[in-house]
Amino acid sequence: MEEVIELFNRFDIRYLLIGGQAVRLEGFPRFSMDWDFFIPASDVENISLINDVIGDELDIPLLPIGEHGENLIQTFPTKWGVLQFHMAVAGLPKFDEVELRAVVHPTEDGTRVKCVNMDDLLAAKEAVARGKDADDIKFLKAKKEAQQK
Amino acid sequence: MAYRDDYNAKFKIWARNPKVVSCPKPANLPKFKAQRFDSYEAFNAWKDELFDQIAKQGGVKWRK
Repeated sequence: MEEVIELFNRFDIRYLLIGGQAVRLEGFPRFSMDWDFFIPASDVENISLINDVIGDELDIPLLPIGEHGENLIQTFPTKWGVLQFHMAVAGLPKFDEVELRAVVHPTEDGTRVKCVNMDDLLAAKEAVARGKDADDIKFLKAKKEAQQK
Repeated sequence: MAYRDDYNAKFKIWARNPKVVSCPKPANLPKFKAQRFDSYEAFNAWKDELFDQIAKQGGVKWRK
């Protein structure tokens, strides 16, 4: 997956990692089957760039969000793993606002990944609050508490 | 003597010393085509179905 992220970084693609992989990069040892990316819903140029850069691996093109919220989430099996693009994220404001306070975390191989910050990650996890998010929430709260000490 | 395990203790330990641990890749996910969803309800329903398929095949094998 580092290859995809390096391509995104090289071509200045606007993305923010969210979900389980973002929690992992905060330092929580966990597995995840997919990589979730928050992208600006109506930035047609950005979406077109993503299609140009990794389109050969996508069996259908990534589309911008529709007038009535169509294409909110798009998931793609690829040679790198499962990529999921989210045009909006429950619990978070629009991409532009979240992007301003984003953070960069290195992967275990040193690839720099743009991620939503810890408060946004926690807000997104709490907004959905599926059973499987409970441990992520516990870890993020514990990390926040540790940082405040 | 009763032994007790504090389930939350590990979160505090990891939070105090966060380390990025590499994530293995699933080697045998059920095959599926790219999908577009108009709502999280539809997305989660699809994902639940995928988890069911994974359970039926005996789980996922992970590779480095």
